[in-house]
Amino acid sequence: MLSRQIRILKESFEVFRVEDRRTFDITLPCDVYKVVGINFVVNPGNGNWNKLLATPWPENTAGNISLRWHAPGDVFLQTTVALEMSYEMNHGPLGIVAPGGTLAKRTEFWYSGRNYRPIDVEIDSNHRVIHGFYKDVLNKLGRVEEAYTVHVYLYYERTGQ
Amino acid sequence: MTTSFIQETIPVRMREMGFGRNYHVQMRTLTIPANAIFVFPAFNTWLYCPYELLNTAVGITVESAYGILDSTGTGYNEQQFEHTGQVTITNTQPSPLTLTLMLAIPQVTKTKHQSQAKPEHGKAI
Repeated sequence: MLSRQIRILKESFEVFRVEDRRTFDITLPCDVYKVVGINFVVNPGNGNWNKLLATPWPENTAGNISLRWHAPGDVFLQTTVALEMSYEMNHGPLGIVAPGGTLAKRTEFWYSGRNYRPIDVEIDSNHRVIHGFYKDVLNKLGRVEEAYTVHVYLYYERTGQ
Repeated sequence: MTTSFIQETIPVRMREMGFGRNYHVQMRTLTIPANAIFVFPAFNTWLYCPYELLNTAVGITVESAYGILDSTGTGYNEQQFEHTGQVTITNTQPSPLTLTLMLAIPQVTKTKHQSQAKPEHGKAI
């Protein structure tokens, strides 16, 4: 997987409150040919970490995320953002499709956790903007209002490789 | 997104998403009971909430995978006026509220066969 020349695009945003809703945009570079993976990483703050570590069976979900194309407007990914300690089997994504395709369950996917399997979604040159929507669960479970950062890593291949 | 802006936006947005002129526009006025949650199935439908909704129906929350439209609290960084898929409309007030939505419904059309197409005016076949 990593033997290919893969570029990484990173988008970060901060979450502040309980059940905070955050929208963010990812603008793909002009040389994106194929998206091969998406990964979400959440680094909760000290207050949330202390509560999670003190809980015998903590919840695994940090939040819910959905990604869509600006055009043709498909929601191509709806999934939960898992904490690092969670099991990947609990966080299967709903699906990922190319722009204009049909949303269907796919098993090959990268997501938060430790399951690194490739996806291959070819990107048309007309589709350059991804809109994202994130809803907090972590602060709601911990009953604290602590700011934390969500990182979105998009792995892609360039054209001409 | 005011009502007039929606009228200008829908044709542009439909063309941008690849539907061209093949869509219907519909207006729906919903009454949400007090402290109720109404799930609006807007699959294959694009739902546009007018900006006036924020002032006339304070307490209404419209949420989908696209984002949230809320006029009451905090905890969001953007108002989303365009929704699709499963849209959840929540009335947080102790009285019923009415909201008006504009729907754009894309339609699938068959391409006309050349023999069925009407000739242009003044043009010999």
